Amino acid sequence: MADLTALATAASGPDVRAGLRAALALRRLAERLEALQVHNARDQGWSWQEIAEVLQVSKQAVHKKYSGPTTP
Amino acid sequence: MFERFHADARAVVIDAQHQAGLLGHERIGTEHLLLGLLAEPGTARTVLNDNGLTLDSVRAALKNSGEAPRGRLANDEDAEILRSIGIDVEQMEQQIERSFGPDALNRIAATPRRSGLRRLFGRAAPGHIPFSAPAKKVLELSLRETLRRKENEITGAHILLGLLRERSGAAAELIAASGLRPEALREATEAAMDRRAA
Repeated sequence: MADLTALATAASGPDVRAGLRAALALRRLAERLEALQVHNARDQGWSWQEIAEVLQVSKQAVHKKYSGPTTP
Repeated sequence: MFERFHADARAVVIDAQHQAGLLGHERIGTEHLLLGLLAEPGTARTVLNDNGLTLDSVRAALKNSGEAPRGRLANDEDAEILRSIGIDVEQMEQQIERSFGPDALNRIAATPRRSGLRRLFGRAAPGHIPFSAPAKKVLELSLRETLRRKENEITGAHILLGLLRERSGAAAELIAASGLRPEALREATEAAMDRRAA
């Protein structure tokens, strides 16, 4: 396993591959966090419009992303 | 389409779903079809094993394949990277469970579009995991391979031929990463199929 002090500079150090990898980890986390909280908001009765406003996207975008038809 | 599947091909698909479930993945991808081919005895498994791909080796390679397992915010590799920049994913997961209950994280899909499945269809059968687009493509290609070879039933080996034609899924990446050429595997598979048909 890579040593943590080395990793500490991964996101912001001069090694671009490590920096990109850190960006990927953050992006995936952001995606899952968004999905989680969109569901929670809907559970609590938030409208798509209200959710879109906080996420700073259009209502259409958030609606399509989280409740469009799914292909089984 | 599954009516044209020989019993062994059906077993491969069922096993793929099982493997996806074991890994906690949200869709059956080409990598799970590959696992299914490796789990079922037959021509496909023999060819793959002969070329160094085994169930255990592929499973090990997939363990940290990117998608966070169900119920987690991140896979282990991501979690470690995030910890190095001060984000404690485990602590987040615990707090989420306290705030929203144990099921909250289980609901999120890797592909958000599918997260509506339970809401729309409520009855989404537990254990029924949908196919990814590349995996669906592989199954279509397996039918085409069967037709091309003028054979009647889709077998596991035809699924393998279909898999080898599909370049965008995780299985293709895995095979490339193992240093194998799809064309070489294809030749070996067709040769084995010709022998068994003889």
